[in-house]
Amino acid sequence: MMSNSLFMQLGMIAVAAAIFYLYVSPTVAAIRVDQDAVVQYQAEFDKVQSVNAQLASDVATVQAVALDDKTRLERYLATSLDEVEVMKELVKLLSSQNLTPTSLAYTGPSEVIRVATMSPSFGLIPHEFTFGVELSYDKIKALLAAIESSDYQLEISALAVTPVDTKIVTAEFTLVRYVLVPVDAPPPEEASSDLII
Amino acid sequence: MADIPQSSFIPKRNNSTGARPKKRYNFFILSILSSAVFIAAPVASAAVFAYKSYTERQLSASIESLNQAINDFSVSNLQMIVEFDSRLKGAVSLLDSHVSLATALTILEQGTVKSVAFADLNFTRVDPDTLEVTAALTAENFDSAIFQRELYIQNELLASTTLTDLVFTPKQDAKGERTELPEIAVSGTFMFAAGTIAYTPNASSSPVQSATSSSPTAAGDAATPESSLLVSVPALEAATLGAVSNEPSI
Repeated sequence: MMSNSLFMQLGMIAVAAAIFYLYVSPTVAAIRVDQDAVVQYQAEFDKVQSVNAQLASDVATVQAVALDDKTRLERYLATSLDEVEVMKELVKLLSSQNLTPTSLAYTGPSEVIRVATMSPSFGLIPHEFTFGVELSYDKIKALLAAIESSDYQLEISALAVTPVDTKIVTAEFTLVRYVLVPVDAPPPEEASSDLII
Repeated sequence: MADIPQSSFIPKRNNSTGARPKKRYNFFILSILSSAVFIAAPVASAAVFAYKSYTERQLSASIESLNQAINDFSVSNLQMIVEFDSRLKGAVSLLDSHVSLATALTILEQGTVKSVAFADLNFTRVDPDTLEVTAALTAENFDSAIFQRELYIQNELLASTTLTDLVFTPKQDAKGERTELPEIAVSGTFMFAAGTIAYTPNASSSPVQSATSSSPTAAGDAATPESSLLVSVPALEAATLGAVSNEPSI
């Protein structure tokens, strides 16, 4: 019998060892790498699935908000500004108080303000309007109340009241209207340093 | 037959028995071992080949699943959510910092005596938390000015008031003629904390307030959709940045 030959037996062992060394061992190592990759991909898949589920949930939440409320929110904090429209609204507001502006101007936008609670990819740009009006002191409070309760977001950033005579005063208003704008996300340190609101 | 002559009393060793069978036994073990190893090698090769094919299929399936999940992710939906969330939070922030100048005027009116008058008023929003009011005040005489100062000190809403640049103008000039001007002119600075004069809208008349507070609440949920969104979107953004863009590179 061939296997009875010592050299043949040693040869068989050598061939087997070569198979183990050259094929089985590297293949087992490759399987281990593949298995690690499968685990990693599975973990990433779980994360993405979780994000997708969260996103779907948030989309459902936003869709559940009444369209009317969404419209009003978009009007309150719009993504663009039509300064002519705002000035027209201001004149209309003054007319409702039986007042006529002595001056009305759009001063322009200022630098972007970052709000701590908002996404770093969005900011607010203040647009400034000024107007002057002559009125009695009693009417100032009514006008202030009308501006403050306006459907439109108008913040009074400055007001100068100067008497013209004993009954009439001149009021110079500076109003700010904020507009939501997308901005480049700053580095975290910068974002935390210029929080204004 | 003639007997073999016994030249020694020590018996001769029988050549038919000895160590040879033991050598055969070792050779037999080696033979089994070599045969076993020789058979095991291709069997193991076949097994690892099969298992490698299985793990490769598993890996391909995992990659495909991940790609599918990534493709399912909607960037436009995320942008819509982030924009809505930012708008809502921006509106809430603006409403929170919204102050009422009418309220500030009322506080000033109520805290000022009739013998003291405001010659002019300047309201300035120095920061989101503070409204500064500078005014030129006139008082009929020193008594009125001192009384007014005490009233401001006692009024907790106006306690931080500072009165400076007091100018005294006598009612009679050097020629002895009476003037109509008040005797005392003083500059006043009033600081109002935003919380003190916060605008409190009437819910029915403020559309934005209703927009940010109306709640199409899901059955059984205590939190409104908006409030839950305020919490989930930053986490979603963070998770998105971490999960979707960090695909493992293998």
